[in-house]
Amino acid sequence: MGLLIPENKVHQLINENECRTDGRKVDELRPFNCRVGVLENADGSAYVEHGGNKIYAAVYGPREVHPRHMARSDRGILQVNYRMATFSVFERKSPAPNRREIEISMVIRNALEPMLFLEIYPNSAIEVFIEVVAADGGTRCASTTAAALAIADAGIPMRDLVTGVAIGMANGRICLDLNDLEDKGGDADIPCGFVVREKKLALLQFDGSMTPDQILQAIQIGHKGASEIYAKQQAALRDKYQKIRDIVNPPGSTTYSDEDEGDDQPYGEQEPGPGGDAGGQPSEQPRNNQEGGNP
Amino acid sequence: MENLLVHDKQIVTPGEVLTTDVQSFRPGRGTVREKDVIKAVFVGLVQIRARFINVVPLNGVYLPTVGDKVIGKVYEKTPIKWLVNINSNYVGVLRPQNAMDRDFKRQGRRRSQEEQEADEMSQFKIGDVIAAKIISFARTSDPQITTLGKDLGKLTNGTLMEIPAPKIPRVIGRKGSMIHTLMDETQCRISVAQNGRIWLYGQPESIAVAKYIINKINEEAHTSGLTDRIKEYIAEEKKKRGL
Repeated sequence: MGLLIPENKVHQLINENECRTDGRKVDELRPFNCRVGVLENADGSAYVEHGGNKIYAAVYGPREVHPRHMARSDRGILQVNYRMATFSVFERKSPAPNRREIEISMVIRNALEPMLFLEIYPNSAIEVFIEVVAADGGTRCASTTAAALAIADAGIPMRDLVTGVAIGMANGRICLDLNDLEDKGGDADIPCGFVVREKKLALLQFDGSMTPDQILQAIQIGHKGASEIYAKQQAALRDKYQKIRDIVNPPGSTTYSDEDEGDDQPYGEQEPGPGGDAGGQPSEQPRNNQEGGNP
Repeated sequence: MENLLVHDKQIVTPGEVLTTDVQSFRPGRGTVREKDVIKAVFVGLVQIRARFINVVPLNGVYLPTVGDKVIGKVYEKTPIKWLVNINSNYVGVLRPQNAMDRDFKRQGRRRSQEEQEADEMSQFKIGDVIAAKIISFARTSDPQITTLGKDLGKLTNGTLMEIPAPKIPRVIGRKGSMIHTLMDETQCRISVAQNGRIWLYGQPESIAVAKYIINKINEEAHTSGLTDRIKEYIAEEKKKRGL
């Protein structure tokens, strides 16, 4: 419960036993937990608990752009709206959007945009709403994680998920996944968004002082931590469907048959002739827009 | 073949590598090839069809396709067109020439142009639910729809419900097996549109059963043996409701 500790600067962030203020080792993540499909009315949604952070993300769209003049006729746009609840921090936050929230919205949008195939949705907008209900350091990382999950849950095609985790320096040591105290009292803070499988960075900010070698080392450590979170992200997306399947088709009992699958033959009471295939709408486009192209 | 990392009907997540063998496999729908791997772009089910690896999505927005039947809601009317919500990121545009045939225009006495136009545009009101067909669509402009044709036009009696568009093929079933089972067992008339909307017409009790069952199909769309299971569900539900 980092929230209830009054905000005074702690000088000893790592004690003699190599333990941090919340009892973790330097290369240990905070407890991470996530779910998808939590909000009924959104097209896709996710809930992430990352240490003391509790974050909801909702995705709507692709849908019409409002205001209309923001629409682009060659590609869709991604709108990210990051907001902190007034009760999410120790001292009540003003409900008005502030500079920090606008910055984080932009940063998250820039991290996610390259993962999407926006060019297949011209004149449309994908809207992401992120609501931080409890904050405990590293909300922009946890929000990126949540937003990526929600977009995947909405069925929007993506190159890969983005996983956010912060790395930083406290008491001269490189620490993984900073909490609020380390964030404020530490020497440096690097919030990162990893594309884990490709070992690429989607988000990188830096605040504080570190040597170039230390930064490289920190990013290595961060990637290791992000891999753990990435596995949980994948599990959450899969579990939404796998759980239902395990109940109705217990493992081992199923002989996979195609007998009642109608995905090749659209058919309706009043529908003469073959129609389109609703099963895989934006299919062609991601394929055609990849770099390099097919042989 | 040994480089196939997934099996048929496995649930995959975006970015998951399906195969590293790009010589024997081709990227199908729902996948991308990046250098020497084929990756999924959706949360969906793997489908292996000969050399193609597909990923069938489990959620998503309807993308209009020419020839699709859709159910739309009229939400805006201008002197020359109706704008129809077709449950997509694009707006269906219905023009009077696509909403009535020639005979309609000719009948009766000769009228002034204003009178005739007013008459043409009085066919649908804001809030009407219509069955329509997409006649042209390119992603740069909104799709044109028509209400001319068999079983198209205003829908008056019944109830509307919505499920994600990618799950519509499951409600229909192979060669319509699911939809026929549903209609026979519940005594409802059910009209399924490709944009994820379903129109139900019948006794209120049977509509309630049908709605429950369609939601069940929506939930269990990615499982096997669905048609048989649905038969059981209908029998159970009818017993519960005393039908």
